[in-house]
Amino acid sequence: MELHEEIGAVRRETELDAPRDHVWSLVCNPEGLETWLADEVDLDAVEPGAAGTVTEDGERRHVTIEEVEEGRRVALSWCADGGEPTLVELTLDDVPGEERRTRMVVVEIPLVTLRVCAAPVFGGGAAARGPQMALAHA
Amino acid sequence: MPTASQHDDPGPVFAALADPTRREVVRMLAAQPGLTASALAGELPVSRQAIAKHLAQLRDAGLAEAEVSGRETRYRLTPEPLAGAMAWMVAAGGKWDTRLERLKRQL
Repeated sequence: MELHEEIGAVRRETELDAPRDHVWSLVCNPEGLETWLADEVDLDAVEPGAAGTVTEDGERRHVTIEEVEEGRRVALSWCADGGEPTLVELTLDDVPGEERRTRMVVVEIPLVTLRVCAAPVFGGGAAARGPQMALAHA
Repeated sequence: MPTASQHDDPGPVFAALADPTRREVVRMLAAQPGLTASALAGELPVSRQAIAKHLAQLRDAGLAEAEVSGRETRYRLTPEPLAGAMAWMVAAGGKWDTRLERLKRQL
């Protein structure tokens, strides 16, 4: 058995073939999110405190937007009925020297993991910053 | 002993493993089954009392069990609940792969 430091956290990092403002337009509003995040995104806006539902493959989750950093980051919490509430953080960054490319980092962490963390244990960068700030909401 | 339904809910396992000292205890028990709390405390920079507390939390999460032999209590790992936590990570990660593929097709 091998235990990783990141146990409990899912992290994905990918480079997208579009400038950051274009990717942001698909993250910063419900219509944009509906093109990729889930089949249905029922939210009034992507603003802190906005709450609604997302449905994906027939599974509905309750979602709350926790934090928005214009042009760069959205943190949300969501939970399926009877499921484990998790915090999701989507972060966009420019790719140095590549104006038309964007790096996107996704981190998903069960809230129960965050609550017992005295300090972030999930590596550096966005993965460490997000949970720290989200603790205030947890 | 934890029930099957506890195994299916990864929450307690994530909570138990969120602490770096408890992860260290898990690693040590994986390497040397049957360690006592005193032996663990001897290897880690925390008190025996703190180790006892961590062991209790690991037991509550179904990750460790105690075995009394003579005057000693020995601990060993019961890693079955980890499967639920790992299954959640694999499933959640797979969903993000699908979502990010959809996003790429939008660009």
